[in-house]
Amino acid sequence: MTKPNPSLEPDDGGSSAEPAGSRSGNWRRWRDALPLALAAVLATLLRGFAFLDDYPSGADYAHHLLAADHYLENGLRMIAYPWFQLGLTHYTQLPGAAMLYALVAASGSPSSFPLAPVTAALGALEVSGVFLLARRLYGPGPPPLLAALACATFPTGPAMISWAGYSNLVGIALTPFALLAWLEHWSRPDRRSAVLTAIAVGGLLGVHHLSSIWLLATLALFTLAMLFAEPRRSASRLASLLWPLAVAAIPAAVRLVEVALISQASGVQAADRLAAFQATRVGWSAWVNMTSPLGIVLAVGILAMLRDKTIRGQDRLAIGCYSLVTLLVVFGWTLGIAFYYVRAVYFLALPIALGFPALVRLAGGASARLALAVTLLAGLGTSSIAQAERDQAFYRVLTPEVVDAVRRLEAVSHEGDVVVCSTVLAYHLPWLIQRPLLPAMPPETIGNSEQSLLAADAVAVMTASSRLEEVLDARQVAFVLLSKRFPESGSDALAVHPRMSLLFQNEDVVLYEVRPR
Amino acid sequence: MRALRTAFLAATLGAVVLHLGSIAMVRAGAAPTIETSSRAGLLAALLALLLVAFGAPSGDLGEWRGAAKLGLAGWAVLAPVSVVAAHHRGLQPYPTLVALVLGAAVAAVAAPQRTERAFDAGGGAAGRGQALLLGLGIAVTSLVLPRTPPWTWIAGVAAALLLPGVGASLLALPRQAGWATRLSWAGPLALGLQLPLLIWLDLFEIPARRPMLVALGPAIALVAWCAGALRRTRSSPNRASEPTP
Repeated sequence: MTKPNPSLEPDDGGSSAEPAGSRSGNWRRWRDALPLALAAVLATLLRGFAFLDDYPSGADYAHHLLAADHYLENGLRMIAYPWFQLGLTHYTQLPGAAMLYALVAASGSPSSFPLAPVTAALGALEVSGVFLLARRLYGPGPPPLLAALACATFPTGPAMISWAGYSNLVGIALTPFALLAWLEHWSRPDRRSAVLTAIAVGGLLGVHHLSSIWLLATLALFTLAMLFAEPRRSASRLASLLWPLAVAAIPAAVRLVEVALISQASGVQAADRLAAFQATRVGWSAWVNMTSPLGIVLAVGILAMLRDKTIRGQDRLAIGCYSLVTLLVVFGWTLGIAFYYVRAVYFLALPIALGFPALVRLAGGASARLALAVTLLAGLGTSSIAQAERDQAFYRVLTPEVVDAVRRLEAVSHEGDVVVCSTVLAYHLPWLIQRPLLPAMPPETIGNSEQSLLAADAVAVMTASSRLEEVLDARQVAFVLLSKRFPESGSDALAVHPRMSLLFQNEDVVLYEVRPR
Repeated sequence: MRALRTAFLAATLGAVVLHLGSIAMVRAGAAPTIETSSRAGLLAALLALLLVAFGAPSGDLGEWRGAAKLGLAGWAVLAPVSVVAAHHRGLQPYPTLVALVLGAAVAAVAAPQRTERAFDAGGGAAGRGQALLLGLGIAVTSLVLPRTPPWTWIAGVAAALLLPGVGASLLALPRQAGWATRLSWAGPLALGLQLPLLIWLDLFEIPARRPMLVALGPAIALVAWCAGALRRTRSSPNRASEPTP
């Protein structure tokens, strides 16, 4: 076994006969990087399926990019969510992702929306981060490239971009770098490594609350374990990080606390929250749909990696902590943790990719290992292509038909008219039309509990429940816009309800006007 | 243990073949067979778990050479393409492109040593030269390219992420880090420097207007480049031998 080699301090010997600056030496380095570049391009292309239609697939990107446009225009983060839930709720995303899109748009685009496809390139970023982290774990040679390819072909990235979890994708792409920097500092602490760690961790913390929580929980577990094992050494390492981390992480931490306080503000009881997330518990079918059946084989690689004595103990501890946090959340319902459990599966991509080389090592000779690696990667990649195509078709939320319906709604409605709409349409409507909206969001999709009561009213209308009349009058609802592709269960009854008058419908939406009592 | 390894390998290969077959059948309009491949995948996983429980990794992955490598690499290219071709709508350009890149990338597992060289030493003068070239390229790009996608994507990513990121990597990473390491770190460094700064400004309610957002990346690159040059000057061996006045 080759001795593990830190990724930021590579070996000099025997790598290239050409001097560093010579033309042929430079060309050789570009050419040498081709295998990793292919992995990066593959990851980008697999995520690119989400951008093949008239509009990017998914719903969530609309509020990220709306926040980016707000930031581009005003220079300050979006605090209130305009029009969404009657404009009465806060926008509870961390500002980092919106700032990132605004930064990229600032140099030449009037809006952030045309920049949505840039998100696919996050796949390349994630792959290169996994490569560097695997290089630290396993040393140079085949393992880092195998880990990078496993990351590129793993289906969760393409799945996440298809429903447009853009800000979480940014966080997940930055995670390997933050872990790598933290581990590098723990191995060889100096001023440079402390600053690098602060930059990597500080950059990630402000992007998405889930990635921030994952990283903070992982680093806290790791640090506690190290403090227990080597108290003095670990305390000195932690102390050297204090100032740089404070400068880089305090603003994001302030925002993170703010988001947590707002999100939990309405006093929804813990038991209610647990019940709301019951439908999202991870079962076999959810696992197969998100990671392909081969995902379970690759998950075994995590165990193989944690048992691999050729990897540094503290590196295994860090990846073990990350995996533990992920598994605790995936199966958190057994411990009374309320969470959208399926969402946690996306965080498994990193340990699964890092465990892949250890899994391949379990096979016998070189040929068997090659056969196993190639077969698993080809199978996983093919599965990802099929899944990316399927998801792109499934999550086709914004279409020319929807835009057409919105234009008609705009023509027949007045500025203050309240519109009850399907959940998926709610993300796009705030940037398409300026009308107070009441999205019928089911409880498990609500991150900010300020929205709970308003959403419950909208659900009562959309499902034609016994409270429909009461809500229509109390909220002064004027229109109902229903998605045909993602209809709320029970919404069929609206078609025959005496208060609903069909104004317009096409392939994707139905627009009702509310009749006076 | 050898027999168990062989069994695991065979089961995994079987699972993959079933899985690929099921995808092809579903795409060809046949009845879904995802459950078949799911069960095969589960079986392979159980065998792998046994292997982890009772086995241990045996040495390095070694050099992968020979006819088997070529054959498998060829299969890796052909298999995804054939699955895509089985699609009932026929061969489509984008999935075919992705399948071809997948095949090429999987075939590239046979060339790991080559990749490794790109991450080895050589980030000194070449890295600075490339950073300068990159800066010039971005300036020209921003001025010349039309303000429509995909040109705005290229100019935006280069100005906001690559330029400050590569600049900062010249300062923050050790001299030995190769250009591939620097390029990999460019995005995280650029974001890690700009986002906390912007969030600090936001905390104090100081608006970051568009000109500031445009100038931030190049400014970070410039500061990093100057700081790097200053540090090199200070640590230069010639300076120590200079006579004091």
